Amino acid sequence: MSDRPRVEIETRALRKSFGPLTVLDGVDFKVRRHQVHALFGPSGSGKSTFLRCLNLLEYPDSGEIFWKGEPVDYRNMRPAELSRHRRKMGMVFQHFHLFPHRKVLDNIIEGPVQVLGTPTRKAREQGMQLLQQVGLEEKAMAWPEQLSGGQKQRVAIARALAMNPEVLLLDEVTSALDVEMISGINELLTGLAAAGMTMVVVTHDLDFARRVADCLCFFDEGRIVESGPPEKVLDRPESPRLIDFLSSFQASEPGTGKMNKGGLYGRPMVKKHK
Amino acid sequence: MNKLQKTPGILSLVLLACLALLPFRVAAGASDMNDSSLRLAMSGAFQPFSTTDAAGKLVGFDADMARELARQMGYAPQLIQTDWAGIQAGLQTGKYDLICGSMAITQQRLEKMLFSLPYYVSGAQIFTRRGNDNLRGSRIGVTEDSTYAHYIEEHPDLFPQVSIFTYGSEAEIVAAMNTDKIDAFVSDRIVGGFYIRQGAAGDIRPWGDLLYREAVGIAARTDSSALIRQVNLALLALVQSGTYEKIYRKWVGTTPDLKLLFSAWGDYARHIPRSDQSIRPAAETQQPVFADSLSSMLPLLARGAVLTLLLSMVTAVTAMGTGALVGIGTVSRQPFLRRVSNGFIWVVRGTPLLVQLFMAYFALATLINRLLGFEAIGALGAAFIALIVNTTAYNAETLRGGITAVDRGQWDAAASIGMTRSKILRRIVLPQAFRDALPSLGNNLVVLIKDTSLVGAITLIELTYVARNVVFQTGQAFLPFLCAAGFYLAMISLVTLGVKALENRLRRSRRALGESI
Repeated sequence: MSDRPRVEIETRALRKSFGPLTVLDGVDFKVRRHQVHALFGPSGSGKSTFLRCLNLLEYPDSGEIFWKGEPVDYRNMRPAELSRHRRKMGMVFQHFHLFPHRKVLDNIIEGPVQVLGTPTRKAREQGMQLLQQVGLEEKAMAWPEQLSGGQKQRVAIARALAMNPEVLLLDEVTSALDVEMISGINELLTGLAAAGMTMVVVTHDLDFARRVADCLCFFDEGRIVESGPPEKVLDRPESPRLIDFLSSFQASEPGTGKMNKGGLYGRPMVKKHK
Repeated sequence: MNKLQKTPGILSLVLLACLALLPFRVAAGASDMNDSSLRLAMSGAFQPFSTTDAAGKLVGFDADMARELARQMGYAPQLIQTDWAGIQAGLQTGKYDLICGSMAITQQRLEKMLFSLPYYVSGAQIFTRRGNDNLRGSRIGVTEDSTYAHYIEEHPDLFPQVSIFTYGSEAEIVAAMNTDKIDAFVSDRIVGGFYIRQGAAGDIRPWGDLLYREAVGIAARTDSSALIRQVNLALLALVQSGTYEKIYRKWVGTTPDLKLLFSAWGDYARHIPRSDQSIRPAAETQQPVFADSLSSMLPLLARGAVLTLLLSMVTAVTAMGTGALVGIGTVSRQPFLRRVSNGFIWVVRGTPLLVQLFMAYFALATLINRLLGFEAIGALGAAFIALIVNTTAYNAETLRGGITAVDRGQWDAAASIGMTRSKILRRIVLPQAFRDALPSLGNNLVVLIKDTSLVGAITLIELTYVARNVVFQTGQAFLPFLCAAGFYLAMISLVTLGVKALENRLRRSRRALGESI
């Protein structure tokens, strides 16, 4: 293992239920430094919940989480420890969740100023640099509601990056965007990956996953059914569930490799091919 | 009549002789009647003269007299219970024909109304706790618009350095005595005696002699002289037939002193409308009062308005903070805090503000004052407590709604950058909740301003109370209330404008969006 990149986060036998519904049914997973991990699978397969368990927006029912080999005692965490754990990971959401009552730059410096204690002036300088990086420096004084979906997502990414996270968690960040906005966000993420950012990406965009990800994980019914490099997982799938899933996906939009959202929403579509 | 006035004894004989005429007069009156019912008002809160039985029916000396008088006059009696504070205004505006509610005949009232011959005679009596032999510096309770407050102010020798507290009814005065709000009270001799017999007032006893004699009559509008003549004849008939004595014994418990009653008739005989007196239209008598009272009532109303303003503003500011605390409590992760906050909102929103005012004044303030041994919380303090508690509950509920309406994603996003729960609440969720709840919070403020009109019930002289008092004093029912309404409207308009301006400021992001499109 010594030749492989260092493990940032590891989970063992992670389980989570919402009432009678089992969402995570024993997930073992490793997030390696400087690598991009793409999680995909049918809706309701637990990938988003798993992502939210990593930074403890949800608490697992059982199982272990390790940060750089150290166990995370998520059952007895003080608010300060929880804050320290969460800020190691930046998170970007499908629906952006910008703070509507704050201007764009203020959205970005909220974390650094309030959580890290960065002086406001310095946080603003860094915030402007990040806005430049995502191509929105002229919108620094705009209100979130004045931005397009793609612009909002860029601000959300800048807000996550402002905390200097070691890992970036991205939860279907292009799913709510118009088609013409998607490639811009994907380019931005590709750039971040090239710069060495460790990322865990929940996505329906398998083309993007193939291009950017080092490791693909196929989730189904709360478990990682198959994982490995893109060419193995996408081109030589082994498990019947994944073969079904990929064929339904290709049948719905042949040749493009672009996922048809309708076909992925819910299992009936997948089951049809059983 | 002038000759007779000098010798009341002779007068009473003459009046008794008049009784012979009675059957003809009443019969004539009855045949003229188009409307067969006579409306008589009383407070229903003046035992043993008027009160209500278990079925809600008006009973008592006044009630029985009203029924018998109306029947004697050939009308069907219709008894109307109305608050004593507004009883004159109701007469002037034609809500009823007569006040048969133990109203003492005074010079001031005679300027506004016609009175019948006295139907009983009583007097003003000081009541206090046994052993209290000096009234200096005492707190004295009286009812609103009773003649006693005036008397106390005019006799500083008898009442040195006292302060006067006014209450809505004798029952509240007794409650105030029982809870140490006042040291003594002035009331009707018969009423005080009644409460002593009831045992409701503990060790309270009459103190000293009668302050003065009061003759009590039935009041009518100045244009009702024919009606008053009918009342007088009916009264004579009831005295003659023994019905009067029967009713008196039933409710007062003693035999009426008819000699005293007749001598009072002599005193008031000159106020009996003469048969040749033309009926004056109401507008004629009210016009000058209208003009006179405006200049004199404005300073009074302004003083009431200052208290209203003070109560509203202090409560509004305080309850915004406390409302936010309780509102946050309802979304706390501590089950205990959540339960306490929700319980508080449930109880306060589920009880009337008037009840809360009385509880703060009669129960809470009394308890605290007794524990501390001095008057730490007066009427003003109690009013602030009740108003703040009440508005806090409404603001908290409004904010709770605002907080839960904030998108869950805002919590997620803020938590993901490491913000703690308290910081998320303070910097992310509350500003958005407040912005969304602002119109409702503004509405709570409007309700609060109008609700301050209730504090008059615990002796505070706010705007509505002043307006009501001006109405009794001038007998003019419209202008004082119109002024008060105008003042409330102005105050609420200002508040509404302020809230709108704040809304616009907080929603500048939306406005900016509108401009950019």
